[in-house]
This record gives sequence, C-alpha cells and structure tokens, in this order.
Amino acid sequence: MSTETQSKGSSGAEEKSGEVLLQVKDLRTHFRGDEGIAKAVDGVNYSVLAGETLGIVGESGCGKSVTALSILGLVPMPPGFNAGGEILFRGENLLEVDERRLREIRGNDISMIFQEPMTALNPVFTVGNQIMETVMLHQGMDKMAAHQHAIRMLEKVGIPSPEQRVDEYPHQLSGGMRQRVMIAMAMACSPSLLIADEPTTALDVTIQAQVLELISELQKREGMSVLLITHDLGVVAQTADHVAVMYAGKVVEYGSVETIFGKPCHPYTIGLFHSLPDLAPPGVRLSTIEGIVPSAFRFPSGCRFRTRCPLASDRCAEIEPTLERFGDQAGHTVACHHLEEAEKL
Amino acid sequence: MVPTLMGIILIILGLLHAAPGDPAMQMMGLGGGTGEVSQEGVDIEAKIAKFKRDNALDRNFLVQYLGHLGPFNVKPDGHELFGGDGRNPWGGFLSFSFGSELFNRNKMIGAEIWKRLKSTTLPLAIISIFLTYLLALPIGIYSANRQGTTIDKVTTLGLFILYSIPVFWAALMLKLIFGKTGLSLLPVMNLHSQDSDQLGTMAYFLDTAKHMILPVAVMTYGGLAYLSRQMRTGMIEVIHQDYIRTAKAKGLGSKAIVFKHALRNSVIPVITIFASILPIMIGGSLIIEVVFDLPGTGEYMFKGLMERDYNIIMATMTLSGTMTLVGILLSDIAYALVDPRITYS
Repeated sequence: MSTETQSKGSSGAEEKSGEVLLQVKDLRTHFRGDEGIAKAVDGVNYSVLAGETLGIVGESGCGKSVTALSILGLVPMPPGFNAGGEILFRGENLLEVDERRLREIRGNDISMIFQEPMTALNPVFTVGNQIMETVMLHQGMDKMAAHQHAIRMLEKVGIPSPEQRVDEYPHQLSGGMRQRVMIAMAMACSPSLLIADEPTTALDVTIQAQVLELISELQKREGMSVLLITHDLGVVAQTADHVAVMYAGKVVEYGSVETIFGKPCHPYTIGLFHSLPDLAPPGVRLSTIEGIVPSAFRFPSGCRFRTRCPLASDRCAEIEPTLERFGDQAGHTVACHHLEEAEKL
Repeated sequence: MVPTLMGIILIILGLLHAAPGDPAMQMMGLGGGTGEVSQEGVDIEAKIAKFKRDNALDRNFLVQYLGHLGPFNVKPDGHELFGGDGRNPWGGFLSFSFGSELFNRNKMIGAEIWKRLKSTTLPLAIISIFLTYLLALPIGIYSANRQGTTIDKVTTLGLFILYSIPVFWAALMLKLIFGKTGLSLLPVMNLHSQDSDQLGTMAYFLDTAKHMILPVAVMTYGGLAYLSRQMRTGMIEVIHQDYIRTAKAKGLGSKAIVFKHALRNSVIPVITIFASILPIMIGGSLIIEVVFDLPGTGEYMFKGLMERDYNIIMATMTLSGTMTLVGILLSDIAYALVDPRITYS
C-alpha cells in the first residue's frame, strides 16, 4: 500500500460532498490591549461544506485572518483569548480539545498557507526538509520515503525538476515557487481542509492566477475543502462556491458566489462592488465607502456599519441586525434592517 | 590576514615607543625613563649604549619594526643587509620567531609562551568558553520562551547585575570570601599546591580542579551574562517570525519548534561573539591571571609591561591580535555552516 493513501488515524470518515465539514458558531476571539479589549472576531458564523471553497472577504482588520488562525489555535495567547463560541470540525469542538489533539489535526486534517511566502518558510532548512517534516510527524514515514514523497509533492504543485529543487533552500526560489512549496507542504498529508490566508496577495498578478488555478485543481483532484481568505473580490469570483462577507468582526452577508456577485444585498457588500475599478467607466472617479473601519476597541452600538452606511437609521443604532434569510436564493443570509432600500442602491 | 597583522604589529610598536619608559633604563634600575644619570656616570652610559646596540634598540623605528616583523634579524649578529655579521640572519614573526627575552638572553619567548599556554591559559580558556556556552544558551532559550514572566524578570535582573560587576573586583571579592581571610574553602593562588608533585594522579587532578574553580568562575560570569542576553534577544526575535507560525500550523510540538526551527536561526548573532571571546581567552585574561597568580600568557604580558621588555610585549600582543583574526575567521566559517544564505566564493 502506498504511503499516500494511509488512513487518517483519528476519524476515518470521509464526508460526502455537500456535508458540513467545518462549522464556526458564534466565534469570539478577543485581544487584550492597552486601550481595553479589541473584539477582532465577535460572533462569527459560517460553515464549510465538504469539497467546496468558502471565500471570506473583507477589508483589512475585519477579523478574517483571526477567524482562520482561531480554527487551528494559532492566535497568540496572550494577548488573544477566546471569549466564546464553537468551532466544530467533524463534530469535534476545536476550542475545547487539548494541545496534543490540536497538534494531530494541524497539518494533517487541516493545514494552512500564509500570505508571505518570503517569510513563511524557514530560511535555514531545505524545502524538502520542511515538507518531509510534516509527513514524518503525522504519517510516521521514514526519511527515505518522506524524501520521495516531498519530491512527488513538488511535482504535484508544478515545480520543474523537483529532484533538484527538493534540496534547495527557500532563498534560491522565486516568490511564486515558494508559495507552491508552501502549498506542497500544506498538501503533504492530504488534508480535508486547506485554509488559505491571502495566498496570492504578495505575488505578481500573473503568478496569482497560476497559484489560484493550482489550488482549485488540487482541490478537485483531492476532494478537499478550501477556506479562502482574501480582500480581492476577483479571487473569490474565480474560485469560491460560497462567500461570507465580513465587516468589523462579524459576517454581514453569506451566500453562493452567484448570489453575492449577482445580487448583493447588504449595503456594505454593495459598496464593495461599487468600488471595484473595472465596473466604473473610464474617466469617472471610483466610488468609495465613506469613512474608515471603526477601531476594534470601540465598535459603534447596534449595526457596526451604520457609521458609514447611507441607509443608517435610529433603529440601526439601537438594535444589532442578525443574519436572516433573504430573497429567493437558498442559503442567502444578510444582516441588515433596510434590505428593501438597499436594493435601490 | 597577513597585511592586517602587519598593521597590528606596526601600531603596537608605535604605541610602545610613544609610551614613557625604556628597557635600557629599566635594566639599569633607573625606572620610568627620567633620564637622570647617577654616580658612576660614564660607565652606565656605556652599558646602556651596549645594551641598546645588542638589542637593536638604537636603530631607527622602521628597522626595529622590520626586526619584529621579520624575516630579517637586525641585531648585530643578524643579516648583512642590516650591518650584522650574518651569524644569525633570520628572525621576527615572519620566520616564526619571537626571539628571546631582553633581560634574559637564554630564555626563548616562543617556548615560554607555549609552556604557559599549555599549562595554564589553554585549559582555563577551554573550560571557560565551554562553560559559558553550555550555560548561556539554555538560560537564554529558557527565558526567551517565558518572556515577561517572573522567572524571566528575575533571570534578567540577575544577569544584568553579573554583567555590571567588574572582573578585578569580583576576583578580589571571591579571594576574600573563599580564601584564608574568609571561609577558607578554596585555594586562591596558583594552579597547584606546592606539594602537588607528591600527590597521586587522582589527588593531583582534584587539587588542580580546586585551584581552577575561582579563576574559571571569574572568567565565565561576564561572558555568560552577555551571551545569554544575546541568546534571549535572538530567540525572542525569531519566535515571532512567520516561519515559526508555519511550523506550528504543521502540528509540530513546542520542543521541535524551539530546538529545530528557532535555535538555528537565533544562534547566528551568538556566533559573532565567539570572535571576541577567543582572543581574550587565548591571549590570557591579564587581570585574572595576575590576581590569582597564575603562570599564564596574560601574566607574562603583565611581566613584559612592568619590565618594559619590548620583545615579550610584542610577542604576547601579536598573539592576541592573531587570535582575534582567527576568531573572526572561525565565526565567518560558522556563519556559512549555519545559514545557507551566506556563501563565500
């Protein structure tokens, strides 16, 4: 039996496509700071279905990366701490399991790739060594087998002459190559969920497309789920099945990619689409969302978007809107009091 | 390296000539070069002149420099090129000769230095360097990984106090406390007891070890404090790097993260320090050897300085200079071994 198809140990159950693999329920990750408590993630709900890609979009500082880091318990604590919620992975609450169990899951069932391929790889070890480490740890492969496996992984992510590259150091590779190595490392144990935190932000546009294509292709081949975090709507359109739009530590709109791109309902989502350059005719100033993201130390009462929202009313300041089903599309939820007016924006 | 060494020798000789005092006066018991000629008048003048001529001290500065540097011997028995009779044409550092002591023509400086290195300075230096690194690295790593806790703060304070204590004071205090004046626990002079020749192997070894405790402690504490601070700083910087988060996301345990991924990156600054420790250790710790009356190279340099024996001073100082260069070379090599981004072609 080839080592690649070794069983996953913990929970052998492979989900059927469309079942819930990961469910984040009312997640609250807060940070203690000099000014008080920053509610970076404050009541986030979403689920990732087996085999699909969920895109999480939002501005910098909206808490999208922190939700991702919370899943694997990688939020530095202190100053971070968990203020409530559940992260259910195959029914197991990752916020409650002990460190040992979490280590078994990391890199094996759920793995992660980061924004900066320049700094995310250790400069003093060969890329092969860094890939081998994962499989030797989780699948008990010996050095020889792991080395062979590393070469196969590099081949899989489209790195030319992998036999030679496997013994090279990160500084000998280009940015795109390094991100491919990161992907190879993350895929080495065939995880069921890949968290990609802005995987293309630091790359050239042409390389971006290649890397996204590679992730989609691997996803199809391996049948894994992808949680894609980005601020780039184009990236989401290209790869995601479902989209969660985050603002100020909360999900404000969730739906299939067709729904969100076809008929966005939340004033914030609509604002995001209006500020895309390719929708504006040449010579016209890009529209922007007025104001700035509120500080996580002092969110406004009620709806957090109301300070920047053209539709804000007294009600928005008093009652915080919750995610409610809206429209005729299944699974489309929006958190807004003024959806009827929003349609006219 | 050789041009640097030539420069070093030039500067040392220049400083010696600029400093007050002169070996001929010293020999005649006239001390610090006051120039006063006493009762016997002419007789002494003649003696001084002969002494200067014999040791080439009457030659101009450049010829003297060449005499120290080699490969020619510029004394009356030296090379014909410099007016010698050619009995003994070669000399100086370039012909690997340190010459003899000024006031004891039969005592060869090279042999004397080697004897002192072997019996005293090298054993002390090796034990001290070894102890310094052996203790400093774990202390640094330990407190870096507990940054901000009480134990880290206590260690930091303790190391700062150690680092601030001057060596000569510490040496004298230890002598007072542990010697006959205080607890009378440890010998405070020399490396062996007077009757050590009659002891058996084991007893001799124990006797030497007991004599070494205080000097080694004094030689170690300063470097230990400095080095562990460096290690802590380096480690703290490294554990906040992205690749450490990557390692965590792979599911590695904290031991593997600290000792594999963080250690190799954080020892890089610590290696540089080796270049500055080596010359001090090999050149002999002048103060420590003098205070504890140890017959090492540092004490030899002290003797040379007191007697204005240019030959001893030149030899010991050049040795220190060479060791600095060797230390730098060794650190450069070690750098390349630890960090693959550095190559020398």
